[in-house]
Amino acid sequence: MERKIKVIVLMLVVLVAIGVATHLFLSPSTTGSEGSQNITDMINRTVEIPAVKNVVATAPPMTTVVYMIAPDKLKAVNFQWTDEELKYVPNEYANFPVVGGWYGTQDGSYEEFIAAEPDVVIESIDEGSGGDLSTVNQRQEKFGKIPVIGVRDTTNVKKVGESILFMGKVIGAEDKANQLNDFNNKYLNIVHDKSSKLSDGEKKSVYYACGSDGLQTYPSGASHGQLIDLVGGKNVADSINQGNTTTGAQISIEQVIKWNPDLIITSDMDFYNKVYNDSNWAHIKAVQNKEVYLSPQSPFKWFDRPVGANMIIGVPWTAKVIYPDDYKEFNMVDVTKEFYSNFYHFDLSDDQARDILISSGLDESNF
Amino acid sequence: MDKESREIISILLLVFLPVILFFASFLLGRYPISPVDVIKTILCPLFPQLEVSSTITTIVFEIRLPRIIAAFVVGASLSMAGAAFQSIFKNPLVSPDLLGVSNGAGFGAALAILLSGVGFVTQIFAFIFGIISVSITYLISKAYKAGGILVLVLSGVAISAFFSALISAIKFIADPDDKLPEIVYWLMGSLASVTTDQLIMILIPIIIGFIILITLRWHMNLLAMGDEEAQSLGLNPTKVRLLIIAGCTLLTSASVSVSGIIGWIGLVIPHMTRMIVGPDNKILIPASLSLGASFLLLIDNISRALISIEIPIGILTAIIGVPIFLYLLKKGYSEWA
Repeated sequence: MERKIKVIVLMLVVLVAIGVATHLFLSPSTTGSEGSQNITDMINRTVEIPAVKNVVATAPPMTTVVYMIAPDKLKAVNFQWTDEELKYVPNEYANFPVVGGWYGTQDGSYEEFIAAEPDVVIESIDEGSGGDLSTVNQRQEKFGKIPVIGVRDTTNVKKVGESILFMGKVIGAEDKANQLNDFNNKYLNIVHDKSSKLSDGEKKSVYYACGSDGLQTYPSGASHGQLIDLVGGKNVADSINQGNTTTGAQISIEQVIKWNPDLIITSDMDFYNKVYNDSNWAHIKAVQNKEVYLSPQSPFKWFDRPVGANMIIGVPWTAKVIYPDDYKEFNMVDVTKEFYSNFYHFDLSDDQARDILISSGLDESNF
Repeated sequence: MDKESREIISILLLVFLPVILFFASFLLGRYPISPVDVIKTILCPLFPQLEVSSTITTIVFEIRLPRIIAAFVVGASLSMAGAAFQSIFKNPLVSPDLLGVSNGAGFGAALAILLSGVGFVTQIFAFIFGIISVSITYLISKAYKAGGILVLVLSGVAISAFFSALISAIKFIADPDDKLPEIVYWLMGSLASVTTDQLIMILIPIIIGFIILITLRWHMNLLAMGDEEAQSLGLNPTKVRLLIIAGCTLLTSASVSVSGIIGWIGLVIPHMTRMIVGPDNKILIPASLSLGASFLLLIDNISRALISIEIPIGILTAIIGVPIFLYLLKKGYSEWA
């Protein structure tokens, strides 16, 4: 019995060893396919890519960009759209296969991605995290001969243009990418001009409410709520920005009452639906003056989550929300319609556009 | 069923189950590959004349193989360490993280994610802090003259709690969008991102731990009788116990460093094994290895192949493990109570 078990254990060890050995001696062969070209991705890796017809991205921010500039090349999405989000998604794009991905607290399945048969896989890279190259290399190893393209992440609306243009080149959608970039730059420039002229006394104070209780927030400098800084609002949570950290924090309702912001912006529908009926929040100027605004949700949120190209339409909206008198030249109904038909492939009627804006809390006199 | 035939069935189960599962696991996955192609791909390095596609080669050797080996090794290590701990502490409710190794490793990983975010740094930190926490536990128990097993267990509980608080502190200061999910996910345990390099890194501690436990399994039987008994048979119980703890710590720390914290296996697999082969450590230790490896392999196959995203493995170990365990419990625990 004893000897038998010893022999068996030895056999198992040998088996595992053989497995490892064969793995180590295996060198995969790569062959160039037709119409392929070498490109340098945004983290300076040289990648050979075929003529791109099918794209998948490993996380929502880049999936969003592909959906905006070349929806017919998008092969799969990372998560199932909710019914609320599907409201403004054309039927032909409503049923993408869902492949998951690597973001938040979930891991994707490499096999699931390979089974979607993409020509290229897009991997976004978060700013400022140390593991960029190793993550991309690990993906490339697992995806074998399917090229993995590293794109500098699009979490900053001021820099997102660069990644949009890069993606346009890679997937052969340069015209759309330019159009999106131009749209973004147009509003960024107008907003930059006006917000840089604001004196501190003129700035309105804004509280960004996250979570269904509205008691999580981000200081200025964080990627979440960056549009407040961009249009020159004064983020009341600045004081929690200690030692240059830009992470979110849980705070108390007393703290919000103490800050007493002029406006509150949120992306959370639950919070928005109860804030006007909550006696605790009734003490705050923003609530008393009906100055609470909810980011539009469909097909992607305008203001935050994900932080990416979906926030481009959030720039004029946030400007209108905080300083309606300074931006009378924006006709939000037209801007919304233009953006949706060009980049979300959905032609809104005037009523639909107005509905989106009314639901966001914007007063009709300020459209 | 007589003893003889039971033994034969046990041996068949314990020997062939892991082997069959090991090879069968190559056939499972989200990407549809025919069994013939899988077999051809596996044989290809030996017979280069076989025609196989490079996509399938990648899937078999880069995606499935590392995970299969990892599940095998982690399952085997945690179960062996659990069985050894249960016998030397003479307590059936003990799991491998009794002396603080899991929370220590978890703290190391959380710290590494906070500071750098690079994969192999996280792995090394987890491994080292796992060992550090057990060392602290052991040194504290030594510092009290009245030493003995109870003090060791109590200081383990204390150090565990301490590192658990440190993990919470790191979670509290981590960036909720970027670092925090990563830390939480790591602590949940997963084999989803195991790479060949990681497996090579833990090879040596795993082998050392394995050798220690396999060679000392006779001594475990003696230790289980009590220290005086062991001493009268010419054994130095303190020394042997320290060696066994060291072996278990190497195994657990190395496993946790690649997989994150996977609970339940180290506690329950030894019990399941005992129900099959009885309480004799000479057989129990290798049998736990085999059953643990098979079990985690099975669970991980479900985790990676059932739906399009990864199901966290910790969820499955309990959901699938509990019914099996309760079934075995019903069959009776006659040999060992």
